Amino acid sequence: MPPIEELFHKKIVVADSARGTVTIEPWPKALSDETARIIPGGSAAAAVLSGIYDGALILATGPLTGTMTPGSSLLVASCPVGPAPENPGVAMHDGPPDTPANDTPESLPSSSGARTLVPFLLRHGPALKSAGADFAVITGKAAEPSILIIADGRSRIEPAGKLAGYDVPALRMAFRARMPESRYSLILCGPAARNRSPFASVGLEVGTGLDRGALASWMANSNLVAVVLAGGGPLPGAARRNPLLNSMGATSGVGGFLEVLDQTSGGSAKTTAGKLLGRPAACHICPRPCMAYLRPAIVEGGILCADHEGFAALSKACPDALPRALLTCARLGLNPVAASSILHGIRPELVGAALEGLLTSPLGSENSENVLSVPGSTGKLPQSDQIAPIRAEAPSTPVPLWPYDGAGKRLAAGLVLGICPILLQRLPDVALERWIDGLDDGEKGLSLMERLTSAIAIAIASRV
Amino acid sequence: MELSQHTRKGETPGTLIPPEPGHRHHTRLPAPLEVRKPSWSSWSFCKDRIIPGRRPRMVFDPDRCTGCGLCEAACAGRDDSNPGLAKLQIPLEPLKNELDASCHTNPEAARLRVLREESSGTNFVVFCQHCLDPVCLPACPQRAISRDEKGIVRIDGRLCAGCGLCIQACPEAAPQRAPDGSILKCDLCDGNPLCVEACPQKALAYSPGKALGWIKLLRWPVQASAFLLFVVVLIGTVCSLTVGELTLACPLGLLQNIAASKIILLTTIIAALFLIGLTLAAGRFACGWLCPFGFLLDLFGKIVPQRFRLPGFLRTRLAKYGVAGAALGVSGAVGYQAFCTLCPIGTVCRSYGVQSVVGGAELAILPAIAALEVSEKRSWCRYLCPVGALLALCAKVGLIKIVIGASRCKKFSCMRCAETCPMGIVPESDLREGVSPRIDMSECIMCMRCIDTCPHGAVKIRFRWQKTAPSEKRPPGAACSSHNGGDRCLR
Repeated sequence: MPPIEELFHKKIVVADSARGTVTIEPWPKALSDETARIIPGGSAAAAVLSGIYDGALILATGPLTGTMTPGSSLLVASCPVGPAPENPGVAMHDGPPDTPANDTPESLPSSSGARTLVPFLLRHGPALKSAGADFAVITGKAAEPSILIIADGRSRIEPAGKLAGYDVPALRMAFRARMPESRYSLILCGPAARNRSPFASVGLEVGTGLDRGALASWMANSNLVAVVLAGGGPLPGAARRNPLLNSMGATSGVGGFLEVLDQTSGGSAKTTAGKLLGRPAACHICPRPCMAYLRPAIVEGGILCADHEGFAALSKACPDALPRALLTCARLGLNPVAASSILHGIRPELVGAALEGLLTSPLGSENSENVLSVPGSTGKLPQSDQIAPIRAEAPSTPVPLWPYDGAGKRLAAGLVLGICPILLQRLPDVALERWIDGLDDGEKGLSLMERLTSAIAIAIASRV
Repeated sequence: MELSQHTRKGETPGTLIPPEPGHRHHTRLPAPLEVRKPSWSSWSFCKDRIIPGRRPRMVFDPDRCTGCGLCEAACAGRDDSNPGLAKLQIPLEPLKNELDASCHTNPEAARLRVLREESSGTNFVVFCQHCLDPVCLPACPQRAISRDEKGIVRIDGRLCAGCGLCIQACPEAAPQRAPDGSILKCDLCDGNPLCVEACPQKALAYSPGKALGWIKLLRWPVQASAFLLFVVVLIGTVCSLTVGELTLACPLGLLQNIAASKIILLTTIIAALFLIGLTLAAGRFACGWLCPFGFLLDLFGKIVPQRFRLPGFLRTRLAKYGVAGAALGVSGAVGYQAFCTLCPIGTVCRSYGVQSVVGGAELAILPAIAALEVSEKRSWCRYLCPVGALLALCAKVGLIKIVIGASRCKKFSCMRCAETCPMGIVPESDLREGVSPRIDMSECIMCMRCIDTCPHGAVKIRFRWQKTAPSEKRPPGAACSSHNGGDRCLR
């Protein structure tokens, strides 16, 4: 079996938006040095890179991303935190989010300031690796709205042109028309982010975004309309079939979506979901799909929902207008969890107008009773002093934390290894060792699990 | 120098090829495959028509597919050095770069492709259907594509120039262009497709095909026996047959008789009731199994491929009712059974052997009608046969029906029922939409070819009042689903 370091290209894409240059370079020395001690993947690698490229957006894959390992789809985005009104966050410790962190290695030094972590699933991770790089670093601010395309041998920054004014579905359709034959993964900056709304979330090629940490705002500030991952090259380790894949049964139907929803919000959202659910959808190499298509009557084709927390929050706030709220959030690039705070008790027909009001309304102030001024809306915008940066110990990941001991460690391990943290938590009986089965080369003096633990510690400590 | 699995035009066997990034290694080129062109005159072509051999294929169920891409990854990671999997690739020497050989693969180099439509939630896996008459085969200017004795359509990498005309010709664009420009196409892994094994949702299934369905095996002898009985043994009596006290008669002949003579005889009505009763109980079984002219049409249709298409205005199934009405009207006008003088069914029987010189002349109508088979199978029965029209009215209210269960049917990746139905009554559009198609029993001749050819057991005969389609058997992998936890499957 190849050592775990061989599961990387050992290349990094460095994009400078200000200069309009994109280069593929060998790993920086600091990162290579770390390989002697840790597994340089995912959030751990992002932590190391954030110490080198200050203020940059870092896209990082894990060693198992793109391999024949169940759930090997993860790409972690890390960028400096921005103000966001709703950041449920997930503490990187064992136990529910509200319990104190007792195993967080607080003694490890921080190599960067507070940063947000956004896990991208679907096919984003394999798409970046197919482009011939393991990590991407995006720095600078473009002079005009731009698009960053990361593709094998064809990486470039292009002017966005008319795309800069499109909403998320229009952007999606524009890319489909532009690259009909290609496979690509998208990270899109929608109208909310362009309007500097703190409620903004990045859009994906599915119906919901996955961003609680204002990554979209970072993109808007950098004049990045879209990041397109369109690799078509080989994937390191893709031929290595993890035995776990053979032994793992499949979940059929929408049971996976309901299961995660159950962990996220309990029974009410499940009841709402039961009326809307269509068919399941899976990320790259996942036998246990947890996404689902919603089939509301108001939209032809349906909405692919990947954000369980967002679904739960909206179903709690406005169950009667859930499809409209989800669609509007997806169209405008709004974080549904944040947006749900203004939708409690609102009449269904006003949901669209209320959410569109978030694009232009300033944040709430002490004197404003109802900033939205939408009849029937009882929601209030959060006030400026209520919008705090993301809690230092709580990376902004929309992945819910399962209520059992060790779930936090599994979540963190997923972010380091490039494995879906939802899948890792859903399978508590499958030891972490089985996910990295056959990869322990034993050459570094430490076992792979020891190195993994060290990498998790560094990833966590970088946000302290 | 290392060996690459990709072969290129002009390279001789044993050529050492520099490795392509992302692809595993290839070895000495094998002996060339025999390139066969379809020939109507060849025995094998006729044999395929009359007694089709096994036709292995994969079927795809879009309802199960979640778009995870495991099939692509498994296909791209196929170990082509295993001679059991790919005959075109035989290992020459141990691979030198262990990492490149066993680790790097490119999903873009898979022989199938998952098309995802995230907005509508439809995933579709495109792969070669190994058609009976592959259109890619004649399209290849290099004659690199051939269909082997197992029915697997293969591309000979040595001959392929990578022009992509096969992709253009294939209605599903099933051949894939690899990142290095070469053309890849599913070869079913020689009967053990890795993608089928990899699919956790069992959305892909492999069917080795049927050598000969039992219904087909039964139907040909029954048809031949009926032909011999009516044409040779009971010459001229197919229109009215008396066995002891029992008289059986053609219902159209009876109606023409009534129209011509203006007399209704109870005995003649009873004589016609047998065929009507049979049709009410078993549909147009007589058309599919007993009709001597239908047997000739089936035989003719097996030998002559359907190459032309009738104009749209001629392809109306209501025409046969018009012919029946005209037959009755003319019979009433002229005072004798007018259509019976032209009826191809009666003509076949009456004109056999030395019946009469005039009868022999009647046979001239048969080639004309049989020529319709060049356009569509059973064109006469579909559009013109007035006897069939009367039986169709009975079958419409008959006791039985044919149903295609949507849960078992693999829909648009299969379509075998639609392809084989001689009456063309399985609506492909319904299959494409994934719903249970409504089979028009008035047009069904109960040949049961759809039941015979369906590799998934989705087509069944049901009583008219039964609402259930064939029950679905869950695949083993899906049987262990659960809404809470879902971990019971872990072993």
